[in-house]
Amino acid sequence: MNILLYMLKRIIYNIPVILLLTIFVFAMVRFLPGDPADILLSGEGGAEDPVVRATLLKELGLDKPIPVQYGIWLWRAVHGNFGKSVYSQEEVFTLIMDRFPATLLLALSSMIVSIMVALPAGIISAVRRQKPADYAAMIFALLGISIPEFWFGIMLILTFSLWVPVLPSMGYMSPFEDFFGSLKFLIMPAVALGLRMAGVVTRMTRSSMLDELGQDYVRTARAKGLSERAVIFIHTLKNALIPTVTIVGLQFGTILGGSVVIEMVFSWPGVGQLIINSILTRDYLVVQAAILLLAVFFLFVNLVVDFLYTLLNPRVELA
Amino acid sequence: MTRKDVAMVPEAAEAPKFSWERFWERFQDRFGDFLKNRLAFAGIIIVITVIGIALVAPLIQIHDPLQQNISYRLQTPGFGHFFGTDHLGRDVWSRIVHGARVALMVGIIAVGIGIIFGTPIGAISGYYRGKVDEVIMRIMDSLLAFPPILMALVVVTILGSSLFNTMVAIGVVYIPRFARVTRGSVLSEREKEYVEAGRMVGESNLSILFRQILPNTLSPLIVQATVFIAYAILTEAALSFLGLGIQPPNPSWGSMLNEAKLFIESDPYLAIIPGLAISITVLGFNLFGDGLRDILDPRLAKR
Repeated sequence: MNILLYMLKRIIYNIPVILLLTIFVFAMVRFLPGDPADILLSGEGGAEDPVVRATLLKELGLDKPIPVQYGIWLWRAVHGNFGKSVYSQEEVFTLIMDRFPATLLLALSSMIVSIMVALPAGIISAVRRQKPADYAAMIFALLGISIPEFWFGIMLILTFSLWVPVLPSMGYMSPFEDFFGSLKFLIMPAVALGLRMAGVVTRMTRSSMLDELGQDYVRTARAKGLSERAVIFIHTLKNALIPTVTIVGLQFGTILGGSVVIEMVFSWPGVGQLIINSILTRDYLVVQAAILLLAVFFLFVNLVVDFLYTLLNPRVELA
Repeated sequence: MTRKDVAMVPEAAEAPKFSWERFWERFQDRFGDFLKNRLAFAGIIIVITVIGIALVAPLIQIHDPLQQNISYRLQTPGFGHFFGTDHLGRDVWSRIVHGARVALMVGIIAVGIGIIFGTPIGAISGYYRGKVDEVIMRIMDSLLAFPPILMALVVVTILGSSLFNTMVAIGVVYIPRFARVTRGSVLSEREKEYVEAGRMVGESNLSILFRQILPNTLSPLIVQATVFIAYAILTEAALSFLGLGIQPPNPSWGSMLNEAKLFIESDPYLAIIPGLAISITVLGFNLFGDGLRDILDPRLAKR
C-alpha cells in the first residue's frame, strides 16, 4: 500500500516537471532570434509566398499573446498534433514515431550489451580485488568513460568495415524482417553507444559489490561456515545490484543523448538523426517535438526505474 | 533520483567548524598518498601536460593552423609535419595543439558557469527547504530530464554556433547538476552542530550558509568539477563533430574528426589522431578526479 502511495506521489511530482519541460521546449523555438514566422518558413521547403505566411500566422496563432500561443500549442501537442515539418510537409508526430523504434532498438541493444559486459566485469573486479582481473576491468572502465563514443564508432568502422570488411558501416534493417541479418547493422552502433555506460556500470558494480562484501552479514555468513561462497555471492550480488539499477536508469539519458551522435556516425535512421538533420535544415517544429518526446520518455523511464528500485530495496524509506 | 547525491558528504564530525588551516593540513597529508597512487599521478601528469600544451600553443605550433596549402594536402605524418596534413593542407599538429586550447577553455569555463550559477541555487534550495526547495528542485529536475548533449544542442541552436555559445550551452547543462550536488551536501551539513551554534550566536542565515556550510561542501564539489570538465570536453567534441559547436576553420578536435570522416579509408591518421587527443585528455582528467576523490574524501575511496 505504501508503495502505491509512493508511486502516486512520484507521478504527481513529475507532472509539474513535465509542464516545465513543455514550457522550456516551447520557449526554445520562440527564443530564436527573428520573426517566428520567418523562422518557421526559413526551413527548406518554406515559401516566401505571403499567403502561406498568413496561413501559418493564423494557424500558429502567432498574432495572439504568448501564453495563449503556448496554450494552443500544448493543447494540440497533447492530442499528438505537432504541426507539419517544413522540410517534408509530413506530420511531425508521424515523422518522429516512424523513427522511434529504430532509436529504441539501438538504445536497448546498447544497454543490453553494456550490462552483459559490465556486470560480470564489475563483479569479478570486486571479488578479485587488486589482482590482474581487477586492474584489467578498471582500465577497461576508465577507457570506457574517457573515449568519445563517436570516435570509437569511427574506429570500429575503420576496423570492421574497411580493414577487415565483415560489417556494413551504415544502414538499418528491422529485426522483424530478418533477425540475424539485422544484427549485422546493429552490432557496431550498439557497441559504440554502450561503451560509456559499460564503463560507468563496471565502476558502480565494483564499488557497490565491495561495499557489500565488507558488510557484517558477509563475515557472519562466512563464520557460520556457509558451505558455498556462491551463497554469499548470491546475497551480496542481490544487494549490490540495487544501486546499479538506479545507475542504469540514469545512464539511459546518456544513451539517448549519445544515440544522437552515433546515429549520425552510422546513418542509423532514428530520432537522433532526425533532430540533427532538422536543426541543420532549420525545421524547428520537428526539433521541438522530438526533444520534448525524448525528454518525456526519459522521465518515464526514470519513473519505472524508481519503481523497480523501491520494489527491490527493502531498506529504502518511502517518505 | 534524489538519494544518490547525499552519499557525497565529507565526514566533518571531528572538526565541524570549517577552518582553512585544517583543510590544508588534511590536503597535504593526503597529497602524499595521492602521489603514491600511480594512476592518479599519471592523471595529474596528463592534465598538466595538456594544460601546458594549451598555454604555449602559439609557441609550439609549427605552421599556422588555419593556413591552407593545397599542394601539400593529405600528407602522412613525417618530418616537417609531425602529424601530417589534412585535406586542405593544414598542419595537423598545429591544429591539435590549438584544439587543446579550445577543449580546455570550453571545459573550464563551462564548468565555471555551472558552479557559479548552480552552487548558490543548490545551496539556497538545500538550506531553506520548504516551498523554495520544492520549486527550485522541480525546475532543476525538468532541466535534468534533457540528456546533456540534447540540452547543449538546444542552447546552441538558440544562440548560434560559436566558441562562446558552446561554452554557455555546456555550462547551462551543468547548472542543475551542480545545484543538485551542492543541495545534497548542504542538506547534510545543515543538521550539524556548528550550524546550530552559529544560529545561537546570532549569525545570519546567509552568513552561516556561505561562510560555514559552503566551504565544507568544497570537497565533493572539486571532485565533481574535475569529472565534469572531462565530460564537458567530450560534449564539446560531440557538438563540434555534429557541426554545431566550434565552426570550421577554427580548430577543434571534434570538428577535425568530422572532417576526417570523409577520408577515413585513404588517410585514417586524420581520424585517429584527434580522437586519441580527446581520449588521452579526458582520461587524464578522469584519473585526476579519481585521485582527488581518494584524497579529499577517503570515505568514498575506491579501495
